[in-house]
Amino acid sequence: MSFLERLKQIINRSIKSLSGIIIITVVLFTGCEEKIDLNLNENNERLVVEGSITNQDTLHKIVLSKTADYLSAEQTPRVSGAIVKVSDNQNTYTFKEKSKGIYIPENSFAGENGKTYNLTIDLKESINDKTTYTAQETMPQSLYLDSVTAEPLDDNIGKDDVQIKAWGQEPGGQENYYVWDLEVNGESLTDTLDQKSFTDDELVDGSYIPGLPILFYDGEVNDTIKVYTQSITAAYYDFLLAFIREASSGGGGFSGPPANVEGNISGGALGYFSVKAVTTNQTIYRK
Amino acid sequence: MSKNQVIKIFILLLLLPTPSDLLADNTTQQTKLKLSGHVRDAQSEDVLPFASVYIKELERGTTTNKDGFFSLRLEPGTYTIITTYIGYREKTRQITLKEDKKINIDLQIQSQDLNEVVVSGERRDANVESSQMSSFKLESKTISKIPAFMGEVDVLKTLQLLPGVQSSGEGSTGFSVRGGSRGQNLILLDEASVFNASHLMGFFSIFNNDAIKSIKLYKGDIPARYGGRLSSLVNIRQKDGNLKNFKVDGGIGTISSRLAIQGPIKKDKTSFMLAGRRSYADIFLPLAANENLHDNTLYFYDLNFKLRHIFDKNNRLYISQYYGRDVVKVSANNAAPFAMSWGNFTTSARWNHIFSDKLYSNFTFVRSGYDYELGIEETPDNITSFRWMSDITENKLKADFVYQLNKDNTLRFGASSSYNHFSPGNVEGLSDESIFGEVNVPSSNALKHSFYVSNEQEIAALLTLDYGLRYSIFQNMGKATVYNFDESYNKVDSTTYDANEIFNTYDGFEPRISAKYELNENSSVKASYSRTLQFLHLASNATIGTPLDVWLPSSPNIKPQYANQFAIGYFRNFMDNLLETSVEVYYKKMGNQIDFKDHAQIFLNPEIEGEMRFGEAEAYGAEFLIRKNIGDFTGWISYTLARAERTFDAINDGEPYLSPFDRTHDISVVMNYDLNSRFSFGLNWVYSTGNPITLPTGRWEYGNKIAPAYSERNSYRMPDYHRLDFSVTYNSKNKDKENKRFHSSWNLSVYNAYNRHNAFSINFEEVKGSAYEREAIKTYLFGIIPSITYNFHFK
Repeated sequence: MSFLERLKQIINRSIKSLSGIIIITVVLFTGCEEKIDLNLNENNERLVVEGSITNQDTLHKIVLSKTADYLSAEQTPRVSGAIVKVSDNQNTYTFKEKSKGIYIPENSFAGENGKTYNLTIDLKESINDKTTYTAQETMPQSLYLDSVTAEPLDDNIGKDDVQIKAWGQEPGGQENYYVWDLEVNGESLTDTLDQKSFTDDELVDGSYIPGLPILFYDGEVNDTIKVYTQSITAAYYDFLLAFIREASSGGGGFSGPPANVEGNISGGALGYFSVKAVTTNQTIYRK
Repeated sequence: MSKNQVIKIFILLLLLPTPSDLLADNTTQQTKLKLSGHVRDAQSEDVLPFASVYIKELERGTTTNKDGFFSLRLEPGTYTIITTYIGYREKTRQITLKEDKKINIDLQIQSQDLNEVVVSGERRDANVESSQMSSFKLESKTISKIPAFMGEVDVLKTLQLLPGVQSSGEGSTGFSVRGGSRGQNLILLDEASVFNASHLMGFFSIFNNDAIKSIKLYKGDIPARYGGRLSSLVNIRQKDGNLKNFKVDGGIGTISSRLAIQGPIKKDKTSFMLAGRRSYADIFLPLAANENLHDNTLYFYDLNFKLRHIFDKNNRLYISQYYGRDVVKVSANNAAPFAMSWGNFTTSARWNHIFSDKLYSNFTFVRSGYDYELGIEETPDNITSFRWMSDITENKLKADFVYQLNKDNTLRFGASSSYNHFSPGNVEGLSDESIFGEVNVPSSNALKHSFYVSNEQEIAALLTLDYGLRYSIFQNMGKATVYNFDESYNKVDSTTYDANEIFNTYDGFEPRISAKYELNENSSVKASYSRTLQFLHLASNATIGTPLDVWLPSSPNIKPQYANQFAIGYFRNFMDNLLETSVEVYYKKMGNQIDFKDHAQIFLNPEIEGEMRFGEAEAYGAEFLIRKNIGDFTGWISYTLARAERTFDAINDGEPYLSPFDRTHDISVVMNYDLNSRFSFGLNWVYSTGNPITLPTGRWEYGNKIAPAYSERNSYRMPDYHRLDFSVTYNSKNKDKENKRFHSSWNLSVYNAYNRHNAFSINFEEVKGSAYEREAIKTYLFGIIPSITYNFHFK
């Protein structure tokens, strides 16, 4: 028998075997999920600061809370009884506790563009052996929009059928970062971070903003729309993006190890002390 | 140690007179005659490395080198030469020596049934006798006996069963050696670098076992003739092809089928090996109930080729090639199909030339590469169409020499030059209206030149030293764009270099030394120190390999990685070398290690160098091994106790943290039992401490959103991993005489026999109905997986 004939014989044999295997080939990719018990009782409590100072005298607020155990059911506890102060180089503003863990200035003041503000927090009871926390941030320049307009979104996908556009001169000269908040008929629609709108000025740096779509919502005719344009620092912008990613992502085997989003609070606290320049514009939605 | 000191010490060692030099009498030297030649397989004429050649009358002998060559100096006379090699019949031959003589000794395979033969490339007592430590050699026959995942026999997964080698994840071919990272392993296929040795997200390696002759792993004590990665060398040889007869090996498995043909093109002169493998999961897709799946594509294939030509006794040429790819195409709901493909190629041509019985050489040209491509095909009006491409290629020229200075000194020296081209990523939109602009991570080029010299020297009867020095020069070459970063890793500006302009150079010495001291016939103590440098870096922060992994060269921003490793071991054989045991302790310190900053952007980032952070790593451990190679019952038990840590200023607040490859305990039990000529059984059990991971310990709120607060990096562990696999092989025998040369076997493998749900990842999900509560959910990839493979062998 020649080599080739033998080869043919083998191939025939193989095809017979293959048909046998196909039957058995119910490839059980049994990838599954199941609950496991984890012991995460590490004593790793940390202070959380959510603070902001603006150039408008009514918008300052410092909220203090603590981390909660990850697998527990309770809300993150607020931190009471702290001494909270904000100072620029000339003045020191003392904050009082308005409600549990929420601190507002005793006397009203307005922040100024370009000025650096220092936050000092002295806790009544230490968290993770630390009682004093500080942070520093400088107020960026303001963006004054000429106007905002609201118009219907033609090919709307989903519910948000109104888009709000911004018109005005972008200051330029440096990298600017903006967060937009939306209030409709006196009610804030952007209380959670992922409802807010973020952008850097890469596309419009120093030029006239020609009706840039900034916010979308599900609106009705004659809605009174108030837009808060907030100039923020580059560091805060990075923090916000990283925080949103960390708050919504699940991780997985192919991404790198997860890590805490680092803010600007010294002493091992989480969170951010932001100083923003806020301007407002109003419009009414007419179809 | 400064470079100069290293050179001085090296030269000093080289010039040390050996006892035999001192004792040698010139007059008797002249009257001695030379007996040399090759020890070969009588069937295939494959040379047999490390075969034992023993002169009965003198009660001494030698072993052949890795090319099967031996050389002895003897006084004129008649000698009885006994040649032995594992798996072969002993051969006794009378030689009368009146003048210098060259002979070939051809050994017959012990058993007629080739399937059953374990061809070992090591001498029987190599464990104790060889000065090499921290290494392990596996023949493809051994590998094929181990129960395999989905029946796919896999060399890289077999390596993970050895002490000091850790799997990087469930079912993955990725591995870590002695606490090193995944990108610190040099995988050579017939001298060509393989850059991404995995198929299908790492579940299968690219190596078709039917095309593989042998695999040798060096975990440390890497010979001076090799360099380029810090932690290990995996040296894989393809089969040369049989010089006398045609042979066919093949198999039909659950995942893939394969066929390998080898044989002579011209008998005793030229042989070839051609092998192919293709997976066929997608063949069944049209049968799927979900119509969307019908047009999908998912397969991989491999092609292996080798050609050997023997010009004459002194000249042999080997040409080796590999080409393989994965192809994935997914189209859902009439959308333009998403396609992705990736693969490796290697080509090497080696000319083996024997100048004299003292000096022989290999000249090698190598070209290899890896690339991937993905995108959405261009269709009219498709604004989402794009193409993303990335590739790396290497061209290398290499010359290696072995010079048998005298009985006690084997000198090796050589040089190599390589040229690498890196194109880490380029994405472009295909249609004019594409929503994708062009993103281009700048490509770059690099040159590397290496020189080495080493000497294996028998200082005294019981003491052998192997010392060598390697020197490498690495150069970045234009055309390239280099981004410059300030101290806080922010981009300052960039510099562009012209084509062929050399703009950055690194160089360094890599001393390697090992010593073996024979305590007695059955035991020895070995120690080694090696320094290794690495100029190419795997840009990945995932523990598991992906097809999108890219390699980056050292650059003005990335200094070469280096490692210093010390190891000491005790080696002892029992029962006439039937049982090999060893204990090795190692300490490895690595510098200029690369990790990525938190939340790093690795893919398609032109400024990726700014995402890298540099630090140190340290690994130490003890490895225990008992191995039985001969007989019906074979296998090994290995245990590794180890620790691997990293310290980076910019990560984990500068505190040391566990490497993702740290495994405190790692146990492998591998057993094979040949019951009779029909049935054989295989079993392996693995246990290892869970991988270090970072877990959320707390939860915090900001802007009415909840985010996890994490532990220190890698301060928790996955649940411990363990798994039992077994296999039964049934060899069918043909009764009719004509088909006597046809052997087939059925193999049933069961992966994860007791169906343990080993955690692959841990995620957290919100508990329904609770605003804050979360529960931990583990994902496991594989439950119990049985598979059947039909193998045949034919000549």
